[in-house]
Amino acid sequence: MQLLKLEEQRGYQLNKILFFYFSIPSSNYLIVKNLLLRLFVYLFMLDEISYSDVYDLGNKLGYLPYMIQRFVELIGEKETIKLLKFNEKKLKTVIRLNNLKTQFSEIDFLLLQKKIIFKKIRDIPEAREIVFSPISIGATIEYLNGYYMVQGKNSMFPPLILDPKPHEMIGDFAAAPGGKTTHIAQLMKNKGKIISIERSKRRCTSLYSNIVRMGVQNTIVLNTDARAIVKSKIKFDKILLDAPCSGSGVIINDPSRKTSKKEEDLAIYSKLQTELLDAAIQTLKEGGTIVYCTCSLEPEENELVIDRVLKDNDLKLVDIPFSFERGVTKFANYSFSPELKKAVRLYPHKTNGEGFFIAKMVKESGKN
Amino acid sequence: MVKTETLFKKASKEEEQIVLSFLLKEFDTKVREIMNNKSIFIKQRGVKEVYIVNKELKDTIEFIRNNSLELTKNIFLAGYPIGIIHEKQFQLEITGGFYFNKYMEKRLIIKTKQFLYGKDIVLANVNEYTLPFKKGNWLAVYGRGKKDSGLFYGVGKALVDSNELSSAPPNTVIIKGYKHRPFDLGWYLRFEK
Repeated sequence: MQLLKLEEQRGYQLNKILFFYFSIPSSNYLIVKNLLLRLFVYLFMLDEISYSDVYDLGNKLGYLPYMIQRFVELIGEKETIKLLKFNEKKLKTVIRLNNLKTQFSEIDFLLLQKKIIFKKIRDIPEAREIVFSPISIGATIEYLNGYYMVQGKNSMFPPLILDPKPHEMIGDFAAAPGGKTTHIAQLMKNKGKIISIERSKRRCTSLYSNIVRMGVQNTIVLNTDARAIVKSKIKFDKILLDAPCSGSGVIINDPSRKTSKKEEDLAIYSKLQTELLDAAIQTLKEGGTIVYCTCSLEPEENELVIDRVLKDNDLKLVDIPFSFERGVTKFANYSFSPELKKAVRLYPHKTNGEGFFIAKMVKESGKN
Repeated sequence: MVKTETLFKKASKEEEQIVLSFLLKEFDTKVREIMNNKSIFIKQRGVKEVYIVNKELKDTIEFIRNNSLELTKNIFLAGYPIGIIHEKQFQLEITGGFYFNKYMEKRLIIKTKQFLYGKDIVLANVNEYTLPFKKGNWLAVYGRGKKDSGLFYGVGKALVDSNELSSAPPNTVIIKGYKHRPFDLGWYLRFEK
């Protein structure tokens, strides 16, 4: 009965959309027509894909079978279907307002003047979700003046969780293109010091461009492998390690990830991530804080990495005060420390953003 | 052997003098405020790039150098880039425009966005200027379009005196635009491409 009602509702919506679509003259209101078309695809086409089970759906959407198997093991069939469907959508554009340049209220005013419609985002005072923009949001004079940065909503959580303070020494390992570095600088009010490390010279250029545009003046960019920073003997108050990863949480932005990584690649990433985290821990002051994050949903790149370093170092996990799903303590043949429930998992379909894993740790006095 | 083109180092006395004399000429007594607790650093990357570095960062750079000269070579940026030294002259760039525009009192307010595409600013596009200027003065360029209320567009060197403008034809070029040199904010988009 409920199913019938749902079908009836969908039919009604479909009729309404098609009526509007064909009644709008095509030469005018092209944007409105495009929006309607997108709405149509979003509401109907995706649900029309017929599939016998989650594996069949995964196959139809172009995923390698191992990925579906792992998603099912991690979150179950029902949630996997939701995740796969969500990955076919387009994320809303989100911007981060930069109060190093001017006040949030002034930027809000300038956006409204341009007829850009936006809404505030819970838990992130500096974020605005763009509901509608008649112009390209990445080419306005306000953007060029560094009043805001176009940035994934969930990528704003790691700097907020790191909670950097003015006058601290902060490390941002694997920093390009600079969304997190410039966010950290903003939270520090352009005071203190940030050492921003990026291995790729090409990506250092975009990091440079964003740092300058956003008016950041408290940063040193090092073009090197983050593992080399140990040689500098610098001791950080806080470190953000957004580790290179397989990217299974950002398929919505990069559909090629459905096939670009083999299951064996996860072990390679996991090893690199552990090495980077080990280097980061060595350069952390006693009592210092480290936030580890990836945009991967794979436990080998997340809980397993943290579980390893917890065993070898005097670190303790700290609770993250946001209401996200918690880290897993069991996956396949792995069993992780129950402490990992203090880490968080941001699933794309549950947070309406990019997938992330975030763990926050404090270094205690002792071995290192 | 140390490759000089990748070294990030404190400016020599001569380099420092070149930059400071530019700042003195353009900003006069405000130089003390601008340079308070700051140092000038140079990174050679084909040309000599000039950076303003605060004391905390300067101490950190020295700390890194004392522990690993190798890492010092990997410094890609520190502090804030303001321009380049070319043929023993300091040349302001858009990054320096960002840094100094609040101190630049000679401002040109323009009507169109053509400057953002690297095009010249001609007299017909000028709304107003805040203070009289001489040929060779650096001007901060601001927009005053319908939707861009007073936002910074870039910097440029005046090609004429402001007192000549009343009798000049509308197509008189006041500031030359450069597509491939960073004087206007649109350069960021051209650079990304």
